[in-house]
Amino acid sequence: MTVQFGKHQEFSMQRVFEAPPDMVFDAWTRPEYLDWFFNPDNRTDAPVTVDLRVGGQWRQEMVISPTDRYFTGGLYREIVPNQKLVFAWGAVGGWPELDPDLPDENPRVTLDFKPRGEQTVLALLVQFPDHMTKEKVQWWMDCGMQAGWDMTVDRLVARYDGRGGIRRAG
Amino acid sequence: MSDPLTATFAALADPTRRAMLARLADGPATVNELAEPFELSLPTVSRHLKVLEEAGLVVKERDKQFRPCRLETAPLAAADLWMAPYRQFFGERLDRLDQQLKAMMAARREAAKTRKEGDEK
Repeated sequence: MTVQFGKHQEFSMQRVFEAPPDMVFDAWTRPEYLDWFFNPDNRTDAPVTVDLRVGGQWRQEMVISPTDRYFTGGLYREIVPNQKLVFAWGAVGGWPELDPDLPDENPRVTLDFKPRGEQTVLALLVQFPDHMTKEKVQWWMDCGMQAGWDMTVDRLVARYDGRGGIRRAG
Repeated sequence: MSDPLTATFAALADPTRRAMLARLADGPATVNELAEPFELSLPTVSRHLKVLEEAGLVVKERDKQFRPCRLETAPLAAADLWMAPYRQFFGERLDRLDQQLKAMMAARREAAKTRKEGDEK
């Protein structure tokens, strides 16, 4: 089955870091540097595992509360050390749920690491396969109006007001 | 409000209007029905409705007697609101990555300094 990644079903972010690309790349790909990816203030004893090769997986346990925890991570699709990293976002038995045989069913994350003087410009692109869009719109209508909705919209509005516009992907 | 996204966010910024949208997510409703749960005057409710209408989030049925209002979901999809939790997930993490990289750089500089001092001795 061919999975479509349509337009307007993606978003991008760009950040400038005060560190060289090799260090930013390491922070994304080495277990000992992936602390930042955890939920803050909630640690786990489960080790972060990274199998940095195309088809290999990165797994990391996210703890929301002592009883609410899940695995996330990715399945690597493309690796250019210190320059580019592409992975299917998710984990087997985790969130988003990942089937290693069908990684294109998951959101695809593309990271570009570009040096700028002493800094790194990181471009993050998250693309959603078409089937997710319809499901997610429905999800918002079904339950998104309740829990989490107010907080998320308030944040979005604050961000929108503060920066004069959310950058639209597409 | 020429930019549709601006209109969408402005319309969503008010909790009363969000509550109205939540009500309409269950099905069409008349202005009176929409006003019921709130201790608001009909003109106030109408004003909120007008903002929602202008944002394209609510459509008034033209052909029915009581002109019920119904929810229009296209602007919500266009505003990429369904992506908001994902956007938030990565945004928060990149903030923390920034902090961690600053600490890593400081440690690297400190190590370089220590090495240099060692060489000079």
